[in-house]
Order: sequence, then structure tokens, then C-alpha cells
Amino acid sequence: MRGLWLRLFLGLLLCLVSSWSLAAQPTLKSLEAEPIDIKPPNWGRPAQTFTIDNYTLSGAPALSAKAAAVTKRVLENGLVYLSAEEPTQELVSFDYLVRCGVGQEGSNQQGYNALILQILNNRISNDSHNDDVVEITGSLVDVGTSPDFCRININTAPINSLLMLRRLCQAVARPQFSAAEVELARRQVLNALTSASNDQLYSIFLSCFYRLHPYKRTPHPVEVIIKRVTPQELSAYYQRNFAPNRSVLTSAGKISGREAFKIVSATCAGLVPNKEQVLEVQWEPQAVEREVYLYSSSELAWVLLGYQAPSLQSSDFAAMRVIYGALGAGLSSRLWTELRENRGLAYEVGARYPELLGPSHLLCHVVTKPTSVGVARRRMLAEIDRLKREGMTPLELQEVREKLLGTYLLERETMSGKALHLGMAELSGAGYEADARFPAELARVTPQDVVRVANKYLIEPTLIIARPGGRFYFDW
Amino acid sequence: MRYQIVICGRWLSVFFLCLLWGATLAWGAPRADYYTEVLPNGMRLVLYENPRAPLCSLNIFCKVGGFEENIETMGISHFFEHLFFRGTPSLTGHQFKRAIEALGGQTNAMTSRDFTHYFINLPSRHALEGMELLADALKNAELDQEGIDQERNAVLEEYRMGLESPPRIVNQLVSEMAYGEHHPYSLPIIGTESTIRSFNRADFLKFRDTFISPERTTVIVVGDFRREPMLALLRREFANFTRPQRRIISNYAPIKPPAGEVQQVQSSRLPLSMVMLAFVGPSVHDKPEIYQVDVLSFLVGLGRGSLINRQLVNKGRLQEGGVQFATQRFPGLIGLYGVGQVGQEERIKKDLLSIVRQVCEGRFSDRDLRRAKAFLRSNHTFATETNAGLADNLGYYASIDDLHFVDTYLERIEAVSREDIIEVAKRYLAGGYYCVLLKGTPPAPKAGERAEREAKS
Repeated sequence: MRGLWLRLFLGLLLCLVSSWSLAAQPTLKSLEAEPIDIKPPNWGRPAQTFTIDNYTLSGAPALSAKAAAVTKRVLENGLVYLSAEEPTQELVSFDYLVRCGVGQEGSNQQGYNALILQILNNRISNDSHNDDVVEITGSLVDVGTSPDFCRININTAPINSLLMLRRLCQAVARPQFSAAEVELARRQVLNALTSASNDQLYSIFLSCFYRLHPYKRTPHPVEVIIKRVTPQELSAYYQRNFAPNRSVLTSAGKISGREAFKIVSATCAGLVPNKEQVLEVQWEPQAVEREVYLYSSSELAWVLLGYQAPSLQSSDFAAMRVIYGALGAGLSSRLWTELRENRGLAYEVGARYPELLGPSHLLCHVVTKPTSVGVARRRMLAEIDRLKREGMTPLELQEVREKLLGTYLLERETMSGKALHLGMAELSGAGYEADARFPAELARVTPQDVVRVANKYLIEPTLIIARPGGRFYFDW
Repeated sequence: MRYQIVICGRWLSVFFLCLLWGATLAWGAPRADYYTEVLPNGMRLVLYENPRAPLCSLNIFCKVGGFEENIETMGISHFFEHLFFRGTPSLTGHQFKRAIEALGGQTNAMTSRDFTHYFINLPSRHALEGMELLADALKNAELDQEGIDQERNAVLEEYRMGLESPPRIVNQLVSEMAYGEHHPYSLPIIGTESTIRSFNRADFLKFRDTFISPERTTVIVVGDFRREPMLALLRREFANFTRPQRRIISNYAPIKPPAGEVQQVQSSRLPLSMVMLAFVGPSVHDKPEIYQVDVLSFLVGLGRGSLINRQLVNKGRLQEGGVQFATQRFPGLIGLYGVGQVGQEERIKKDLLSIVRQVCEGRFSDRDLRRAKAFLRSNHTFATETNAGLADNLGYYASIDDLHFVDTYLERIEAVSREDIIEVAKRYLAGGYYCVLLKGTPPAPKAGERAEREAKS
């Protein structure tokens, strides 16, 4: 009898705790009565679960070397859903990635991606009266474009995660845009354009370097295009490019993948896949404009040196990351050491090597005095030649590996970082498991690989110089 | 039996209520299970084991910043921050940076009015080695003349870039008006070109010996590490860390808001105008007002659902707008700002003042208040998702008030009521204020437009 009372007591306790916890956070259900219409599930292909130990190669202590279980489910229309369940986290992050970048925007559509993302953001964040319904749940929505894809990211509390997932899925599942939606988003994007900073030198470099390739454009919207696009044009573009078979939805954190997939399949199963093949523009290695001289209105000068670099999917990618790490990443890099520490030539030194699905670039830059442009350029080229000739010592290689591995781990510390990188790997075609393979690939790079890859790609640089005197300056 | 069940039921109800009240505050509340210790030399250690990822954040917070400067020394804390990682007797600056990066570490520093913060974030398997490097820099930063001269150029360049930044210009003007020339909060943290050029090695050595002392320093370690080895290392590294000079943290008379509006107009070359209204607010010591003003800031100007965004930005009356308020040791300024078209400065000011009146009169909904609190909570939670964010949160409050501020922060936020908001708005926003109008310059018409205008005229 006492045992029965004890069981009743514990059951009641459990019910009360769970019901109060649900009531504690103001959920959208209490604000908007949304009917939940769960259609018969279209499960598509069966779920596959893989376990990835992301941390073995870092040699981390056993306590944090936890395996992250990632489950992949695919709808019939090709939409991929990845869930990385982490029950100990107190957050949930959703990442919706679409393989639609600058390559899909024609030259007369530059900015369509940004406009569509703004519309989707508004759909997720606002109710029918344009009042915010996201912040009140303690959620954050962010959107962004890159050369290869568009991204919607939502961070939220576990208690509201299914609700936010439903809002996300319902937003992307409506391919038609109303005139009111487009007008509001247009105004918001144009407002943001006025205050946004645009890296003009980088844009000029891309234009010279890529020439006819779509990567010559940045994802930055163009005002006149944003002003004239119609809802019909935007809807047609959306249906064509934001197709489910070109999209990956990833969740990371304290959320049940099974429960989440019910919502995904109920809301997104009706999306129509795009059967067209993604057009890959062939890389044109012989760029015409190798040296560009610009007038700078500032008192400083910029020197940019850009080279070809392998794509994310290339077998040379890891070795090129090592080269980037050695040349220009951080304060111990060769360019920093030579130009700033040893010679005091530079206010700023750095490099960038974006992870692109297509042909990428390694861009080294230095900001210096106008009278030092010549010697800065010579020293940059000398360091690159030295790397090609002599490569790296095993000690330097190991240090660069550690530097890159540290960055790799830090980028995946948050749930949104995890979701993003899993999604990017899946979207690239290599599979989400590829993201966890990077430390092993890094460990396999040898000094010989560094020399081989440097000599293969670091040839025929594109040079951009901007300084007060333009080309005509008495220093060379 | 029935009587016993009723008695038992009442106690059960009390028990349930206690449990569930705790559950409502569960989300986002930082675990207060960090370890603290004060060494014999006065240095405080805070260790928080967080094995979520194989990473660690190593931090040093020094209670010195703009607050300890005067008209001749303004900028020295920030300049010293640049010199922190420039080498010690055992490692040159380059070797130091190379050592940190060879451990997979990323390092940086920042200076505020109240403290300076140095940190290294790195894989946890190198946490002990990273801590040794950080400790070496704190105790033995060499401050050689060559390093000073090289960093001087970098600091000057940073100074020049700030001259073109409208928020920096407006904030500086407002600070000068509000704090007056005798208060260090009116001085720019970066200093001026002449003070930056004037500092020499002797100045930095004196600064280091006075202010980079154990009593003013808190070491915070957050991440996946083992407490005992880290504690042993910290005790060993800092056992003999002392400084010859001491200076008691200064205090100043409280500032009062002006009687009415105090306005200043400035021109800029940018194509937009910016207006800021600054009201004297609370300091970190003013409780519960500090929590109430945090909620007020989110209600009025932070997030898509804020009053400024919904009523002004979304309706096209502002390009951009919001509220800024920093919790500081000394009373901060609650700044409402708006960015809009050139020539609209007076209208922008009126719009912002109407929002102020609206809040003082209580013309906002309960939903607005719930949104503000939920959004504040989520910002806080997401900011403390990483080890670095957690450490930053702990160190921030440890430097300006008390470490345990963070233990009850979310609970105090949750307790803010509608009446509290109205009362705190009337206390801080209903009186006089400082106003800066930064008037932009309309962009020059393009060639086609110019020809069209000429043809019309």
C-alpha cells in the first residue's frame, strides 16, 4: 500500500514538473493558436545513424572526448535532415543551408538571395501583424549569404525548439511571395545596404582574379536590382534554386531528431525538387589583368597578392590550409614575422583562403606606408618563393597543424558552429562525415606535400596595389 | 488516515511549488559551481570546470582602465594592452606569439574604462602550458623600447581609424558633456595622438608597477581541465608575484543629470546623420535599478521587437536605431540613438523623445515586457555558450562589482515588473539629458542626376 502511494506520488510529481516547465516559458502556442496539422508522414529513405568521435585526434582527455551521434534522414524530395543530438546542452541550433550562391544569381539578379533570406527571416520572426514572435520565445534568427550557399540559423531554448523548427519549415515551404512581403524586405535590404561596409579592394580583386567565373561577384546586393525585382520574378527564382534537393537542414543540441523529423516531413514534403543539374563553370586559369594599380584616398597603401587555391573538395585542400596557416594566419605567420616583426613595414598583414566548393584563392595582403610598397611587395614574393623552394621543417609543420586544429575546434564549440559545419560538409557532396575527417587529413600532410602543392598553385599571382600615387610613385 | 493525507498533501504542495519555481529559472542560469580562491598576495582565482568541449579559456582581468587615467596619461592602459604579449626575458614577442599559436591558441585583449582583459582560448590538452605563458606575460612583460615604438604606429593607426567612426565620435562627445573634464570617464580610452606619442618606457614601467598588481587581478579559467593541476600551477606561478607600488582605486563625486537639454551639434562627411540622447543612469552598485535598466534597454531599443525598431525603423522613420547602456563601476549613460537622413536630425530627436515619454507613461504592453526579458535572457544564454563567453561574464562583474553578481542576475531580471520599468524610466529618463546631433553631408549628385537638375533649372 505504501509502495502504491509512493508510485502515485512520484507520478504526480513528474506530471506537475513537466507541465509547469512547459508553462514557464511563454511559448507561441499561448500567443497564437496555430493548428497542428500533421499529415501522414512521408519518411522517405530510412534513417541512418553514424557516430563520430570528433575529438580523438585532438588527444583530449576522456571526459570531453564524447562521441557526437549524427543521424541522417532524407525526404523523397531530396531534402536532407541531419540531427546531432546532445542532451547535455541547454541550447538548440537549427541551420538551413541551400546550395544557392553567386553562381545561381545571374548578373542581373545580384541580391536576390539576400532579399529572399530577408523575406524568410520576416516570415519566421513576425506574425501576420508584423509583430515579433521569435524574441519573446528567447530565440535568435540570423540569415547570411556566401559565394556557395544561403543560410538561415536559429538558436533557441530546448522547450521552444519544435515550435521554432515548425516556423522555419513553414516559412521555407511557401514558394510564393506576396507583394507586401517583398516590399517590406526590399526596404529592409536597402536600409542595410546604406550602412553596410563593402570591402571594395576585395571586390576588385575578385573581379580581376575570377574574370568570367561567377565567383567574380560578391554576395553583396545591388541597389538598382533590388529596387526593380517583382514578386513573380523572385518567386520563380526561389522555386528554381531553393529546391529541397539542394538543401540541408541540421539541428544540434538538446532536441529529439525523431520528433523534429516529424515536423520536417509534415511541412516540407510538398516541396518540389529541381531536377536540373547545377551548372559548374569551368575555371579559367589565364586571367588577363595580372596587375592593377589604384588610387587610394587614404594616406596608406594596400598590397594584395592573390593565387589560385584548391576547392574544399580537392585532395590538395588540407595541404593548402597548411600553406595558408604558415604564410598568413595569425601573429606567428611568415608574412607577419617578416613584414611586421622583422622589418616594421606593415600596419596590418594577413591572408585569407575561403573554403569554397569551386576554385578558391589564397589572398595575402599588407597595409603599409606608400613609400614602402615596393619593398613590401618584394618581401611578400620572397617569402612565397622561399616556401616553394624550401618548404617547411617538420617542427613548423606540426606547429601550423596545431594552430589550424585549434581554430577547427573553436569553430565547432557552439551548437550553431556544429550545425553549420555538418551542413556544409553534407551540402558539398562529400557527406557530413567529411567534417570530422579534417583533423586526420591535416595529420597526413607531409613537408613534401607542402612543396608540391605550393609549386602547383602559387604561380602567376594577381597583384592589386592601392596607394595615393597610383602607379606612378618613386619606389619600386 | 484522511487527516494524515491532507497534512502530507500540504507539505507536498509546498515542496512541489519550490521545485517548480526553481525549474522556471533553470534555463540559461549559469551554474554557480565554480571554485574561487584568494592567494596570500591578494590575487583572486576563479576556476570553472566545463567539460562540454575539449577547449579551455584562460583569462586575466586587471582592474585598471580609463578610470585610472588623467589628461596626461589617457590611453596608457590601452597602449599597455598592446605591449602585453610583446615578450618577456625568456621569450621575445615573436616567440611568445609563436608559442601560443603552436598550442592551437588564439589570443587577444581589450581595454575598457574599468578593466583590461587578456585571454588565450585553446585546446584543453594544452591548458597548463598556455597558462604558463599567460602568467609569464603578466609577471614579466619586458616593455622594450623597440616594441613600444612598433606598437605606437599600430595604436596611432587605430586612433586614426576611430576618427571616422560616427558611433565613436558621438559617444566621445556625449561622455565629455556628461562627465565633465575632471572625470576620467570623459577621456577617450585610446587617448589622443599627443598622449600616444608621449609615452615612453619609464611611463609603462611605472604603470605596470602600480596597476598590474595581484590585488587588482583576477585569473579565470573555464573549460575542460582538471582543477588540482591547474590550481597547483597557479599557486606556484603567482606565489611570488608582487608589485612595489599601490594605488587605491579612486572615487569621484556622483554626476548629476542636467536641468534640461544640453545639445551639441557636429558635422561629418558621412551621408547619414546620427542623433543620440544620453541620460545619466545607474552604476553596477545601484541595485535593483541596474537590472531594471537592463530590461528597459531591451524593451526600448534592442531587438526587432523593441519599441524603437517597431515604431521608428520598421516605419521608415529611422534607418537604424537602438539603445546602448554599459554596466560600469561609475554611473553609465543610457543612450538612445537613431540614424537617418541628412536634414532630419530634429525630427529624429523628437521621435526618440516620444518613445521616452511613452515608456514613462507606461504605454507599453505586458507582451513587450515579456519579450524584453526573454530576449535579454536568450542573449545572455547564447553569449555564455562558449568557455570564453562564460569567462568574460564572470570576469566582467568580478572586475567592476562582485563575482557573485552573475549567480543571481537572471533571477533578478525575471523579477522586474511593469511598475519597476515605469518607475525606473521616470527616475532616469524623465529629467534632463545630453543630446548630440551629428549632421551628415548629403552625397554629391551623380552625373546623370546633375545634368537633369541643370536641365530643369
